[in-house]
Amino acid sequence: MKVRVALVGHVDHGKSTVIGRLLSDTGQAREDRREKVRSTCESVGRRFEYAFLLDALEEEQSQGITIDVTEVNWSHGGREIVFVDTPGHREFLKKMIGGASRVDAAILVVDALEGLKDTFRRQMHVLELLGVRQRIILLNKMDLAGWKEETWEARRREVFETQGLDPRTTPVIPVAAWHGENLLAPSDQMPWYRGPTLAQALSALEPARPEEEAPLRYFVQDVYRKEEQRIFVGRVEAGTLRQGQRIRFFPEGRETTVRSIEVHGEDRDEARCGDAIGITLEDALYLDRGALGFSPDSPPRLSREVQADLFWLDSEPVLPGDRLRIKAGTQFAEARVERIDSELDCETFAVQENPSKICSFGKVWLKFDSPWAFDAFSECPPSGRFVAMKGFRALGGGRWLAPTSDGPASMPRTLPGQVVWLTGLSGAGKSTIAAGLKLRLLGQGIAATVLDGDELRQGLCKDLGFSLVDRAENLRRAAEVARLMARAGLVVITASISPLREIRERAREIVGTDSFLEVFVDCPLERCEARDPKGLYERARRGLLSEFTGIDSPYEIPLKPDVTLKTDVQDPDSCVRDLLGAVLARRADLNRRETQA
Amino acid sequence: MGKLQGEDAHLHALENESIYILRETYRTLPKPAILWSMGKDSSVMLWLARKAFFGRLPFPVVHIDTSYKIPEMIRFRDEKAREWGLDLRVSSNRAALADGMNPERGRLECCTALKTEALKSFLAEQGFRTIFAAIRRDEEGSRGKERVFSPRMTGSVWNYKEQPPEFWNGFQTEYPEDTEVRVHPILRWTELDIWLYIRKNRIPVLDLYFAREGRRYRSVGCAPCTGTIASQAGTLDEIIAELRTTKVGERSGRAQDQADRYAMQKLRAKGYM
Repeated sequence: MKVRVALVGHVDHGKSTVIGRLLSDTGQAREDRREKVRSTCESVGRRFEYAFLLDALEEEQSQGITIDVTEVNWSHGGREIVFVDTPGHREFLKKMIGGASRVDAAILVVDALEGLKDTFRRQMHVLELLGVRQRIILLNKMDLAGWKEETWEARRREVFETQGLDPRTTPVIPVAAWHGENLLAPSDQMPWYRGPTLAQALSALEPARPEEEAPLRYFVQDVYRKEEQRIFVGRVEAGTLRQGQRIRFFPEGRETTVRSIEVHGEDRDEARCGDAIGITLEDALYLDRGALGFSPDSPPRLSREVQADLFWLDSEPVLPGDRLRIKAGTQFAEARVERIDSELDCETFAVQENPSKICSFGKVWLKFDSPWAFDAFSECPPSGRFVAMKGFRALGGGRWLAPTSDGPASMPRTLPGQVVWLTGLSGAGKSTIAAGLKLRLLGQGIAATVLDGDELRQGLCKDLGFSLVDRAENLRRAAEVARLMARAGLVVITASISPLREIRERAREIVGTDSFLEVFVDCPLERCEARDPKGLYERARRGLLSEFTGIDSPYEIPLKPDVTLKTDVQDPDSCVRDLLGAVLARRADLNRRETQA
Repeated sequence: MGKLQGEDAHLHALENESIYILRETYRTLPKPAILWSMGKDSSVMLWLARKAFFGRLPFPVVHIDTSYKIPEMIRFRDEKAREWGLDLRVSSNRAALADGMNPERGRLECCTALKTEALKSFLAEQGFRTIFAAIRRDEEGSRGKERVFSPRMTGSVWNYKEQPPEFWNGFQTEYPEDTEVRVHPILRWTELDIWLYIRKNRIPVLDLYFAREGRRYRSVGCAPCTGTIASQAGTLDEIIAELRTTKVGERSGRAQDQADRYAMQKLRAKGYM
């Protein structure tokens, strides 16, 4: 694979000259281009400018600068390299970031006489943010510095001291690019230098390793129809996708199996990182552009509030309350800048806590209107980074940080909430299912709680008895509390017998039918009585309890429950799995509705 | 599929990116059309598009006919359009042709009238807003500065000093309504990549590229302005071997490039492909 290498550095320190000279010395500059440059330079009476082999725009040649990123292929000693030449001006930072965001390594070019500029430190910071870890530093124009070792030593020390770089992994090579010294062969002018030449340093670089070890992340681009099939086209951003594997999608939520991998004209049972493919699924899932596929055992994080390292390129700074459009893969949504934690001052490079704005670099909390799927950049770079837009302009980007406990809200808020109302006879298995569901939801980062009937009885409802009237009032209060908790973003699971249709209908009205899920935990009375986990049936039969549902008080079975779980034939785990599917499907509906609203 | 190595891995990665770009565009941008000149590059782009959309192009294929094309190209066009079931649309700047426009009136003027103007008026007429063009960065200097997604100002003008940044491996596909966007799915491919891919997939190309009596077309355009190069390369293998060692520029046979030192920059700023 080709290694992509960005050239970055201050304007006029000789980035384009380095590449031009390499091309020229290895016979890889096209004759017609060389000829064009020769005549251009002659006509204006200047020396042959190797940089013009790259800087092809008229303005670039007349002003001697690089206006925009250029990509140039170069091969040497069996190594294939793509040089990405980037402009060095302050206002061109965004072009450098654009160019450097997809490289494996960077060459930083520094003028030996001028030394490190702020640009250098900014660019080092950007490379760090972008995750470009392989770096070569070229100390250029050593001819003008009299080929002196002291100059090299001093600059080298400056580099390592200010940047905290490791001298063993980051070579600082003294060169004179225009003269070709130390580029391909060791320089006779600088016999004191014993380190690698540029060509040697380049051959030690490694191409990017695709994120195959990372968990599967598959962003859906579009849905195509082929005959009766729906093909979800997209790209494997990380990990590996296999035919027959289990898969889940955010925000849809349900789990299914990959039926086939579709590549026109090819037979494929596996797709790797970077592959643009299509897939078909065993079950009919409602998926569209922006859906994120993952293996059920390694889901991405989900949250409405996410902390990020941000870089910002516009002249207008980022302010709290700004609305940004965030794009990661094909996932695209608006977010509000909730809080700015810190800013890096580009002049002094000091970190300022709680600043009022971000000009170039800083840490922010972004708040989305509905849950956002992401990974921390440190854990999975392809799904750990994003582009930030204002209107139709891409003005910045960044990487997600792993969640910490000091966010704007201490609870992971994954709105919207809902109420899962379990109804059924005593002993039907409501509490077991409620507890199981809560655990599964929490495991997916969805805040959930069980509204415990006994707890309500001991506090909020301790003035109530067990008559039908009091039981109705007890449930009305439970419904009100559930509604309030759901509004705060929780999935509230209630497990109460709630025997009467009228009571359950009232609860549905209180909560709102969109977020209310009536679940009939269905089990024949004989089975419940045989289980009798709390010994209540026995006490009722002995006349120690009155108005006990099923014995001397009616249970009206639900006519149209949202979910029915038959606990006499289904084991608790499979009940919980079914119920989880229904809760997630409802959640996806609510999400969609909220996003559209 | 096992792990791909070297050249295969490289072509596989290029193909994946191009397919991703084609699909991104089709989903997010309005009224697309794909430009086809029957040359090797746009033929590869067409091949990739057919692959991206499972054999059937969901948008029209546009050929801007200057009337000076080599007859073999037109035959090739019509044959493949039938075979692949393309929705082919051909357009010319009839007014300029009626007025007798030809390269002797000035090569840049001729290119602007018969290609740029023909393209622009055709797009306006048919309401296309998104154009796939098979340009490559390594073809010539000003194309080296291009973006994969290149939004145009009014009148298809390319503002090359203020281009949107392209971060990571994603692309900006959101633009104000009615923005004309040029999309370049094979921007990162080199001339050698194109030929390696043609060989690997046995993609049909014009015979003009293969040497006859010691000469071949390296780049194909209008008959009056396209010359042949001295070459013995009569097969795909020989073309690939030739490209690995040549120092002659790909477009050295293209007269319009030589008309002015910054000819292509000037042509392209006005909306040339």
